[in-house]
Amino acid sequence: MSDASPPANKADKTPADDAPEPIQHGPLGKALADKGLTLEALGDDAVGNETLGVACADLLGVAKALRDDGFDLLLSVSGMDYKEYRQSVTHLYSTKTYQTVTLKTDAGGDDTVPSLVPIWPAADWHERESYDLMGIHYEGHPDLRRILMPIDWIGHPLRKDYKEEDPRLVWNRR
Amino acid sequence: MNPYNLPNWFVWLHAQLGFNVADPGVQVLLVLAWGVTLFTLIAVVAKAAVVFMVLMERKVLAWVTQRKGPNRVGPFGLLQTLADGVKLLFKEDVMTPQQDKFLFTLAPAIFIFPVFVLFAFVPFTDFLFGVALPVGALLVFALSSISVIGMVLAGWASNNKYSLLGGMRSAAQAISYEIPLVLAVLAVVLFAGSMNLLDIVEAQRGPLGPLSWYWFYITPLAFIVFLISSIAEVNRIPFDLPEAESELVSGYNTEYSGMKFAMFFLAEYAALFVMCALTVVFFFGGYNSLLAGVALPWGGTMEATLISTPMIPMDGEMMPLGVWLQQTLHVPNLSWLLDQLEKISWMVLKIYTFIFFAMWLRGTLPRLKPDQLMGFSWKFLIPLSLINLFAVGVQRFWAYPNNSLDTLFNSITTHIPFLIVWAVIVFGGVGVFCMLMSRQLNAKTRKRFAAPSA
Amino acid sequence: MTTASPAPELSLRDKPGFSDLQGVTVEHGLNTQDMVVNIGPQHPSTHGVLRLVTTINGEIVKDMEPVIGYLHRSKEKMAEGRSYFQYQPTIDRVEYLSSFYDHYVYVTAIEALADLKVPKRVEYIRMICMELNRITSHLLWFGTFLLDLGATSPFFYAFREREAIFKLFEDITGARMMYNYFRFGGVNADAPPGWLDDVRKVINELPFRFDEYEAIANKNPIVMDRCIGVGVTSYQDLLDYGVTGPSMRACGVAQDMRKTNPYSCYNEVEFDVPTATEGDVYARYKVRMAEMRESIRIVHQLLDNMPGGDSAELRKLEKEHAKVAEEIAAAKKRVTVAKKNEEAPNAADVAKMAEKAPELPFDYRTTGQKVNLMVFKPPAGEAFSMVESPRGMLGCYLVSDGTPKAYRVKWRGASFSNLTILPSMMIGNLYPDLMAIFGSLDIILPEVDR
Repeated sequence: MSDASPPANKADKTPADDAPEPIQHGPLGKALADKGLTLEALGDDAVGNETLGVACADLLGVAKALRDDGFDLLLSVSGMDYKEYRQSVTHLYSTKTYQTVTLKTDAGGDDTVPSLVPIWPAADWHERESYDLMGIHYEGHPDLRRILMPIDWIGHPLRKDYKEEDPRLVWNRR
Repeated sequence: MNPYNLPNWFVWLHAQLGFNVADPGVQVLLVLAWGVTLFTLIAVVAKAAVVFMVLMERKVLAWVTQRKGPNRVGPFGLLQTLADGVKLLFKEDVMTPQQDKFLFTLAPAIFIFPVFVLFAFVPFTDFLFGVALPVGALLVFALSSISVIGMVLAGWASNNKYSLLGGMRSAAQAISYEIPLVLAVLAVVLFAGSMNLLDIVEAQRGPLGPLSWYWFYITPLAFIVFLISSIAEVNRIPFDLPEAESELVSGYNTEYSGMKFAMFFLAEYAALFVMCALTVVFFFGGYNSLLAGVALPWGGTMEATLISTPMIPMDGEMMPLGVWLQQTLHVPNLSWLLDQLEKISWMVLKIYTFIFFAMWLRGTLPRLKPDQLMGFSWKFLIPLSLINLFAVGVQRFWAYPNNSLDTLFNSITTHIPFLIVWAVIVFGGVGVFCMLMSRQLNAKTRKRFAAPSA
Repeated sequence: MTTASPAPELSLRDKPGFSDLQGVTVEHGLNTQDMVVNIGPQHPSTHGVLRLVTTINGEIVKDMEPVIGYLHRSKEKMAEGRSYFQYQPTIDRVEYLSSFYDHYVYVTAIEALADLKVPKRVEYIRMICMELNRITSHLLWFGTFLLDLGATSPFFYAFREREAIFKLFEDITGARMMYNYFRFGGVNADAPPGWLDDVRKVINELPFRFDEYEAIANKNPIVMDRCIGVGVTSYQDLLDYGVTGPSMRACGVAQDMRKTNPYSCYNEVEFDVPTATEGDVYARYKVRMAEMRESIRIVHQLLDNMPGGDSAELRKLEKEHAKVAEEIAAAKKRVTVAKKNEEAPNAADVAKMAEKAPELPFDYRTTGQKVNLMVFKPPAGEAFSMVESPRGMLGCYLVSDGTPKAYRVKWRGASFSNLTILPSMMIGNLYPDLMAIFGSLDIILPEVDR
């Protein structure tokens, strides 16, 4: 199985736009699109969770619609670093329909994404973590500061181009 | 001859050594000498007791939690506590610059001093005791509350917030629990007619044996209140709030190390020993044996009968064992010695029974919250002990005006109305309070939050 | 909402009350002064290295801010630097009390990505391991929770039973706590012979032990006083803070991934989701105690229906099959290269032999496909797999770019979200309630910090 997988072309591929043909909306995406919300269908992930791509400007609207549809539990906010751009991935769960949905929001050049705290307060720490490790700024977050790393840490360690060059650290002081 | 109320044997001993004990100057010196002797004795007795108690505690807790406990140092781990003591002795005595050095050093001394003094009041037998003052019962509690100052000082001087909280808690706890403690003892004093601990012990020698000890004879209420309050007074689980480990790290002694910590440790166990000794003295007949004073229907006491009963054949005729021993060993007051031995054995046995009880509790119960602790004292124990005091007052001045225990058996008919009133007051009081408590609990249960269903 | 106010970095020292001599307030005619207690990072009841910057007035908690990150070992960054298989041993340390679950989410994410089929026997063994692990995790919680309340003995009792289960884990995985047992499409090795009976022996004993625990704690007036009505949360609060697991079920909501999104073979076993309606500390306690009994029920069913039965029988069966297979192979060989003086066997007879001895069912195997772990490359794609861990919903978001190393692994630890609710539950309560409430949330710090 593993040997049969095609060699990935690292240069121009990221997992998100691997799809060769346009993907149709799943039932959830369709329902949201019917409400007049702009979103991009990204198909299902390997486990079968529907994935929706949402632009920064539409995020809060989509989020509100999803919350009203019963996605009341925010599971996690993951920062992704695709080298050219950062992406905030939000996993939501519905305690009514037991579905999981993935929202992907590409951050712009200034690495800014609207914060989901007004809609799911649970996003608070998750967004702080994403900011801390990935450097994505969440606009509208009430208390965006580092959470896992020391408060005076330099850089965002989960970025692909991160190098630990803090001159204060002993092992960097040669 | 003995104006300072020194023990007769001490004065006699010095007279034999050639001192002019009638001389007032020599008498003052004798007082000082007695103080030194007493302190040495107490230090030895207290430390021996504590060393044994620490091992016992670890063994008992190990037994409760299905472990083996210390068993490496010495046979059965007997020397474990000594090894720990030596370790503590050699440990660095850490002090930070922010601490109030004077108070920090003073606190363990203040904590340990009254506890050691209290040992002098414990009558191990009617002969073996440090002092027997006419105001013993009062002084005992006056002294035991001084220890709290040590705790508060330690909490304050440590410059540690956990310590401070622990010290404050200990002050609040001591204030709350000394009241029911003393009220319970007041019932005893009222009944015994004396505050002298020796008199209180002697007064418990009655025809009913263990039932004429005050835990049953006055009211079980006083005993229960005293037992609970005494455990709170020595800060043991479930009342160990001043050093609540999971909350305050180690409470008031968080910052202490080395010998200063050892002093706190020592004093805590010594205080437990003294409190258990006082429980025995006030409620469990002191050094009286289970048979002491028990009357037999055909006359005589069981004790005397038992002593004279074992007969051995000697020179062709039967003679009592005790008499034979006395003749053979040529000890003129052997029976007195045996009596003393018996008494001290009973005393120590009873004390360790209560110590075991405290250790058992520690292995069993969780810890209370401060508000529950205070509430339990002020809302439950103090009213209960007041009711008890009232009942005992009625009992004392109605039933036994002559302070003679025999009257109960001589004129049982005259006591029937009293017994009814007594039972109504005491058991009614207990019932009402248990009801109130359970209702409070139920109300709490009922008030619990009902979550919206999904 | 968390209590954290908008503040710039390095603001902790500037918070009112950080120095002792600020924040004087007047209450009931008394001049009282707020005090900031820095609970942790080293403290007996923070269960790891958590720091709680707590403002108290007397014993009443006025404000609390959890400070985490003391145990941050950059597990997510580590995943990007090593192959999928090399990353596996470090997963145990993400959450060391129930690490089977972490392995399970990781392994299932990869199985979903690479489309690996998993034999039923493997799933059953995994489920037994996970349910036993739920019991050990809850047992440790029971012990430490009562230890936080001040009772020392239950801790030892719980550890006694936990050790018996660890012995089982050691037999099957080789390790007491750091298992590293699940593999992509299988498990590392089959259960040793007689293991199923050992498990049965242990779990037959456990309910009596649980009865003993409940006799100690359930009706204990001090436990009841400290737990009933303390730390009450509403369901909406839990959703707002993303709290899942027993805490959510203690609010009357039967949200359990095993029931709602049955993974593995959970739709083949019968069990209930214990719930309580009160939402307080005591309800959480009751839910967890009931969950352990349900886990035993599940394990019993799994043991009874294990495909292939005990591994001793399975090995015997395998040997027989191997023997027949050998004979067939030899016969086939003789068909093609018959010796000079030898009569060649009929090809039809050989085919008949093969029919008589079919291969062992797929479900009896302990590995689905042979996977070369060192060069294993799942195709590009992503998977977010979830599991109901003892602490709540545990998720693993795995993104692969088709190389032997993961592009990104993100852990959704249940404790991370569960911890966020602590300040709102604590404010206004007494300081000792912290131990009851924090203990009842069952937070494990390695999972928070990762």
